[in-house]
Amino acid sequence: MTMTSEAATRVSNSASVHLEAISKSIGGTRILAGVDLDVNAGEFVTLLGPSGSGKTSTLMAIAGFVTPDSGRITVRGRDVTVLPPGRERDMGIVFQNYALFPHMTVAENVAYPLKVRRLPRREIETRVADVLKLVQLDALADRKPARLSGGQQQRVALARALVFEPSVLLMDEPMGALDVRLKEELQLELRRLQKEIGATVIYVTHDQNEAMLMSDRVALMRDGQIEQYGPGQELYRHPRSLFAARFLGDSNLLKGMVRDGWLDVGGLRIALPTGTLAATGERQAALLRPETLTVREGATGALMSEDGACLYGTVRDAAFVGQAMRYEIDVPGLPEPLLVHQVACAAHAQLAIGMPAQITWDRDDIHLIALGDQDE
Amino acid sequence: MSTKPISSPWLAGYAWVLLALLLIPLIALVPISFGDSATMSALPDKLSLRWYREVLGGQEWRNAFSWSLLTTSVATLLATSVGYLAAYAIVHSRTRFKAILEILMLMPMMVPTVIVAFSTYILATWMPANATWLMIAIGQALLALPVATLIMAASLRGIDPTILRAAVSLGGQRAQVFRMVTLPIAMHGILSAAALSFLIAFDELLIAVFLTKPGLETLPVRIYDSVTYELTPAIAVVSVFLMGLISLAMIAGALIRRFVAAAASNPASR
Amino acid sequence: MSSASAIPAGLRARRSVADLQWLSVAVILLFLGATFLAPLFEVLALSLTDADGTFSLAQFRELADSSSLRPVLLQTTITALEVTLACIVIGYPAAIYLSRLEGWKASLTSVAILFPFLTSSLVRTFVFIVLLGRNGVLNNALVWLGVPGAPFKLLFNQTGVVIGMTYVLLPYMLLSLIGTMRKIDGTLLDAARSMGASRARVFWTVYLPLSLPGVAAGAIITTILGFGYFVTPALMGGPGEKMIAQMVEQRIVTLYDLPGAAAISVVMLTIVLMAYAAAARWLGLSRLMRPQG
Ligand SMILES: Nc1ncnc2c1ncn2[C@@H]1O[C@H](COP(=O)(O)OP(=O)(O)OP(=O)(O)O)[C@@H](O)[C@H]1O
Ligand SMILES: [Mg+2]
Repeated sequence: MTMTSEAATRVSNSASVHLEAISKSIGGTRILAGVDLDVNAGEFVTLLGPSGSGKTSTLMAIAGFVTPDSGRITVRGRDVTVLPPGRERDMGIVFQNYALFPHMTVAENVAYPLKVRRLPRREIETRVADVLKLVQLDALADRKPARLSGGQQQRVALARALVFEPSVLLMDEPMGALDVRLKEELQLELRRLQKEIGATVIYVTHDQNEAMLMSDRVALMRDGQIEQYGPGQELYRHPRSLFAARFLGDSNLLKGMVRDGWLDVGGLRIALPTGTLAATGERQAALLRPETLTVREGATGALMSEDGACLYGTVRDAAFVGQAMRYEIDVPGLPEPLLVHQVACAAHAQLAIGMPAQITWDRDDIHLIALGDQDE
Repeated sequence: MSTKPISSPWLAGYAWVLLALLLIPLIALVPISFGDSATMSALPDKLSLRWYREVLGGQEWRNAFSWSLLTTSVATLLATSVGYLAAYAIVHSRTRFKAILEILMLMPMMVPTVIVAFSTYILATWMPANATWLMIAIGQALLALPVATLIMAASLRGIDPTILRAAVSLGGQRAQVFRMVTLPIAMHGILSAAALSFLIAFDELLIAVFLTKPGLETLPVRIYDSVTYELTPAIAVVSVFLMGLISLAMIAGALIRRFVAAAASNPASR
Repeated sequence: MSSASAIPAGLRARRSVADLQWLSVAVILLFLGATFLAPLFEVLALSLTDADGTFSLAQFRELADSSSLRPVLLQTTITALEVTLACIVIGYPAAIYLSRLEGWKASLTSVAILFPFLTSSLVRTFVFIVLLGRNGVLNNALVWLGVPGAPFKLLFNQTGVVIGMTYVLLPYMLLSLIGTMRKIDGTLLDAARSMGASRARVFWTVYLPLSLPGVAAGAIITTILGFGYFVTPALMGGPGEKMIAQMVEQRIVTLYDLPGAAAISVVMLTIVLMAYAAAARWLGLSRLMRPQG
């Protein structure tokens, strides 16, 4: 076996994972309420959601540590729902606190999955050396975990989960304990690594930026169910619920009723995106992302423009947040101020608190969310 | 120190004096053991190895020591292995059964020692006479069992469950997880439990008094008889010997702990 | 379906984990049952039989009538309580200081407590016989100092037993006290001080209540150990039956009166269990079982 082709051989092993209506109750509480999820071989999928939404439980069901009450989990078409965790299940897991064996060195930790499979010593040594090189830890092979930094520990955990070439890699908030800079570095590194070896990865985080940055698809979880599943961009641009819209990024949600091809928001008329087929009387919310809005100094007393892609108001708050200005603009008729992120550059005039402001946007940047009965 | 409301130099002085008083009597045994006459004195007029020769050369003391070593070794083995099973069951089971098991395991510690000794005596009456030494070992194991269980349970409780999950998910079979992960991490607790079991068993007097017979006498029984009837510096010699053993055990324990700590933090531990 | 092979394998593995637990429980029950519980029941049975082996309460009636048990029981209880009190009074002030030490001083403290703790109780009793004898170190020193009345009779009487047992049991008390006091948050004391409490008031209202569980746990251990103690009273006590454990020992070894020994054992057991029950009500069972933790 050649050392350099190691990484390439792992591609063939990655498997698809399917979850069908996975439910689980513990002590009378429903912690998973019918989770459906398709993950293709070689895909990077992130479970995203607020604390307690069931991300870890879903991951542990896939890993086999939680046995679902009902539903089916298949890996590469094979039913593994009640298969115990371990060799047959063939999944590499990176735990939130890394769960490195404290009494073993880095190399021994990484060698463990190979040793328990009774591989020849020679092969164990080459593969451990290979994977440690891959995660750039070859220099620290003889250290004990207690003497590693958080980022190094994380990479050991990753190497240990990769070295036996599992069909699926599961990670539960592996970046949770790292500082921001290191996190960004490792996120990119992990992404590169995953692409390089073509592993199927199911990743848990509650950090939306991390989810967007790394995943092919994001599954947004809420109350033990998957609220929406798709590429990050789609979730961001076309959320199907107020929850999804609010959870991913900052948002302005203007709730109103469709009337004659316009959205009537408390008397303000908002133009619908071109080609929208919404019947009069439907309750809809218009999602306006703060960065799609443009703000400039407005005329005092102006109320409404004719094209329905413009509002007037007063600057309530203005703050410089690094790459952008963040404005809150009070608009008469709206219950909450509008949030605007505007790149701080010469083309944009800066407004001061109390100044009259005009906000404009492209009507096609609006995304409509149908309001259900329970959405107030 | 200045901000601590409860502190005074008197307290410190008193505490150190108390610690000294705990140790000095035992240290005083050393000069006594080197005495030359049959009466004991903390400052012997003439130092000699007379009583060392007497003890080390004496068949009685040597036999007593051998019996003690035998029963205590068996007791240690029993207490540590049964205690490990109990600790495992107590830590990992989630049922109400666990509380019952816990109380059951601790019973030999809660019941007065005489009664444990008495019941072991009864047990021995059910058994053939040549198994008496084994019954002594079993009784000693019973006395050591609660402490051994508590120590190992604490040590097992200290193992992060996700580490075990990791070990399983990485493909370890149960025996492998036990051998490669659980055992090495719990080893410190197991060794401590074994060491303490050994000392408890070695120190046991009543069971052996009840079951002693000609040709079967443990060291504590020998000491007990000797204190009752002879009261010679020979006992001091044996005491010094026992304290030496304990010192060695404590030093070994400290070294192991230091070694483990160093190994866990040393970049190049090979 | 592809799941056909997976399901049985999974269930099998899961069941065998449970099997292992039951197996260990079975081993424990078997061991304790055969070596401890069964003989213990036999002791109970013995106490309820007369010389012919038929059921009777004769043993207990005899004990109640005879003048031997009651004074011994009283003496034993008093001794156990005296020793406990002595351990608290001697140990508490020292533990306050020792519990706050760090570094090598803390190590020295644990060595100084653990060394006697681990040393055979026979050895520790023996050394006190040597030290407290009429010609022992202590009396010689007192005579040399010209203390009036010296030498005192410190051995083979109640005083000697209490001194010796206090020495033997003090490490238990110290370990329990220090363990609890270590966990007292020093900032609480500072906080109380900052609110204007005097040092004495801080002690009485904050420190003492927080350290009380350690006192209680230590007191329970020393009382119950003291109640059933054999070595020290047997070697240092005066002639005759002084402590209840010696009564049992004498009936087994010297008198070969097993039913009598069994009856006294049952009385002892009842008293101890009542003490535990009271302590458990007062402290909670779990605390009782992990005095040091
Ligand atoms: N063993 C358990 N017993 C009872 N409830 C549980 C158990 N494990 C999880 N839960 C509950 O199930 C729900 C989902 O938990 P889960 O750990 O999957 O959430 P999560 O999305 O991973 O949250 P976090 O981001 O905080 O890690 C929570 O409400 C939690 O309280
Ligand atoms: Mg979680």
